[in-house]
Amino acid sequence: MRRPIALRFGAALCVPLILALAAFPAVRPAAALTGDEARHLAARTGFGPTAAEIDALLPLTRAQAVDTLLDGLRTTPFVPPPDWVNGSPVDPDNDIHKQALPGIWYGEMAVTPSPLTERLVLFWHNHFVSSFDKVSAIYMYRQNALFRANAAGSFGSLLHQVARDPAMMLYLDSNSNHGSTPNENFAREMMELFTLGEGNYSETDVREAARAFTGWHVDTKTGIFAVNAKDHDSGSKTVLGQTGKWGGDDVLDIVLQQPVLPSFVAAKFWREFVSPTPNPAELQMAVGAFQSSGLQIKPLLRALLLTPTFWDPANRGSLVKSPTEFVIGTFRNASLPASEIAGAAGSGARMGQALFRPPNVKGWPGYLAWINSETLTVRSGVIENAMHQFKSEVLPQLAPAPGKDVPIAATDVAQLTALLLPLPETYTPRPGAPTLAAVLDYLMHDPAYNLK
Amino acid sequence: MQPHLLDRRGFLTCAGCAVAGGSLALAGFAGGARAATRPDRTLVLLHLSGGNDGLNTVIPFADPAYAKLRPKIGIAPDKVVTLSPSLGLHPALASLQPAWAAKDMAIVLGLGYPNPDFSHFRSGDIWQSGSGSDQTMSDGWAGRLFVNGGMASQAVADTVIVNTGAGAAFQASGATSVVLQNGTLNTGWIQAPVAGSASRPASLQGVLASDAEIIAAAAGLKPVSGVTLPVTFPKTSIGNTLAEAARIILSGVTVPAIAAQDGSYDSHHDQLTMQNQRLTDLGAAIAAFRDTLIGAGKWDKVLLMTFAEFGRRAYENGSGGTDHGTANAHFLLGGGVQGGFYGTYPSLTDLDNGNLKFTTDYRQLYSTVGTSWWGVPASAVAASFTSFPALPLIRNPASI
Repeated sequence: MRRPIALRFGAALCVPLILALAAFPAVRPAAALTGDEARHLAARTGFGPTAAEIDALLPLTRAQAVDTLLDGLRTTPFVPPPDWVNGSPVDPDNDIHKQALPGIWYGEMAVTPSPLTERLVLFWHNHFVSSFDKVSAIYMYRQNALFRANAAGSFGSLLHQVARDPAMMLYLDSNSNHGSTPNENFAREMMELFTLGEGNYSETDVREAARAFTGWHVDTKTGIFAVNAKDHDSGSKTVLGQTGKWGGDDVLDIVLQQPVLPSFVAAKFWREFVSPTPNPAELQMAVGAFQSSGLQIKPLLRALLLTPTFWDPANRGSLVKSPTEFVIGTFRNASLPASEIAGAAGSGARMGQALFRPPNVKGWPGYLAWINSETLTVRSGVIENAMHQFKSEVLPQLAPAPGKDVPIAATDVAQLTALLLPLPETYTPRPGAPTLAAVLDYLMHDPAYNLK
Repeated sequence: MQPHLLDRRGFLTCAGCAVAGGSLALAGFAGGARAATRPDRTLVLLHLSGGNDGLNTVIPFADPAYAKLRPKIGIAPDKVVTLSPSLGLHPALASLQPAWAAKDMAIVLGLGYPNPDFSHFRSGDIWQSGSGSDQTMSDGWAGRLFVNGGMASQAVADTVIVNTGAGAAFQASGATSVVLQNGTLNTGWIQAPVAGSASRPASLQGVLASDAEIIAAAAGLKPVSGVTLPVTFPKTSIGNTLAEAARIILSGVTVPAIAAQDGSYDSHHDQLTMQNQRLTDLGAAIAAFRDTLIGAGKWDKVLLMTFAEFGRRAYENGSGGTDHGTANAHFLLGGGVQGGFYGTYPSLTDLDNGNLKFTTDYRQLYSTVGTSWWGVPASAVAASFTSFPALPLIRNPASI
């Protein structure tokens, strides 16, 4: 389906891409990625991607390339966070900080040397959902840091930490879960959305699990977690067939033993990184890697990124870019200054993804739910703004004369097409001699630019 | 190329079974329920973003408690545009006096909901989804009525969003919204797909289907750009927005809803200056909008309704402003509106932590729009807004 185009990617920005195309490395292993494959892997694990990212993967085999990405994962942000995140949770500027936080995260995504780290943080944000609706900026930031620190580590450890994370506790009403009057919100969503999926637990399991979490409390003024023994129901509970005087951590351990959990989690990763519908046999292989590692995310992700389906040429462009991916990728592909990206967070929100404010505890449904006549119009507007900025800030550095576009060769057009689109063009290029800004504009408006 | 229509039809059959119950209702849905709704009537939903201060907009000037709550930013009784012995408008809204006198402006008092939320985001979601504060709904209240009630089969789109924002109330699976920016529905980037596109992934087909929707809406909205307004609108943000809305209506295209936004009304500091400017612009724009539609003989086809995520705290703060609050007053204007006050003004002395206690559930507005304005089948409205009866403020209710 994909035309057999020999790709040669240049340096980090599209500008050098045009002007200084790098040659292939002289000696390439026989199993080295094709340009098409390198682009696919970089697009599925990052934002954009840039030519430099693709270039770095080109000499590697599939396994080497995947391992390189996984070895590069970070546990801390690349951009130091502002001081207020470490300030008192009693924050007089909470509203201002809520406005700022999406832009701060956009900044990290735009410049991090490990885009996959941020894609994983975004995945966890949409899995263990909390929201500004009920949570302050400081606690949402700290949850974001928690996701980064554990992005590809132990799922079990992350689950235990999320359960006592102030943002999660406030979002799912853990502080209202009293021994005498249990609140089932966290217990239910934990089983339904975070670990097991509907149909894999009973209403009794929810009620009993909620009892085990009674007394779990976060001091909203300090963020300090404690189990209030007086408010804890210390009686016997039966959760998922196991009976004992369970506390909250015991219940999480019981849940983590459930045979359905690895495939539930793995299927969600599959839909995020591989394709819209899991291939059962291949998913099972990845589940095996997940289980045998003691529920470590990194081996799960490695297995998924090495499935035949992932690399199948027919699978290119089968997923839809989220608004965040769309905006960050556009900034990077048009070489726009990362220092200005914070202001673009509002564009992502208008396209349906206000970071730190998912629509509900299920998170953003993703895939084709991102695309409708309204959001597509907003996406087009984002491209128009980006191209306006490209013409005023980037093009003058290259243009032969002020206000002129830069003529480019047909081979450059092919390079840009292969960089920006996961599929061949959907629209027919306009006739005439190609110029840089016009080609960028046309490619970014192509329907396939919404895909990855 | 418009799978949403199929979706809607499929959903309707279900809605007919589940909601209305009997075979008569089902036959109605299958046969011609849409014809019975009134897509020729347009709702212009105007979000006063940030939360307009209702207490200084519809002012209980005769209540001595008002001056006590607002020692610095209260509006003096002699400045108020008097509408009744106890209530009047902010002086910046004097431009709405003709509508009040002609009895085509209704003011609904004390709008709110139980256990109010004070977050712009969350309370905005509540108002736009039509939920309670203990519920989360992912679709919008009007979008739900479009889909459940079989609205707007003839429309170019269910909703035209003018310029930006405010579309959340109209979102639902199967409801279409398009964004009209600066007078045009931008389709410049859309082309016919190349041969072979149909065999590419489902993801691409989804984008192409939305392309087709936009093209169809743009074709339908084409008459809008040819409309010359007989009345000059103020050159303000809200003036431009309502001019655009007027052009859509005057063009004669069928659009059941227009979403518009004005703001910000988030008056934590120096409210007197800020609100005076906002309300001056707002009143002038609404007056021009009304004059235009009356002149064109279309005023009875239009219902303009304001909303905001919340009202503001009853007492002023130390910065000459007001903080996030609860109950609020909102306006409904149109040739079909039975003007006057609806509901009761919340007490200024029986407060809840300094906040007004709501007296009318805001969802009654949505029942009113659904049942009396659009003529959505009562069963479909009830499915969303059980126990929130319509207010009797539409002169000629669409009857089903």
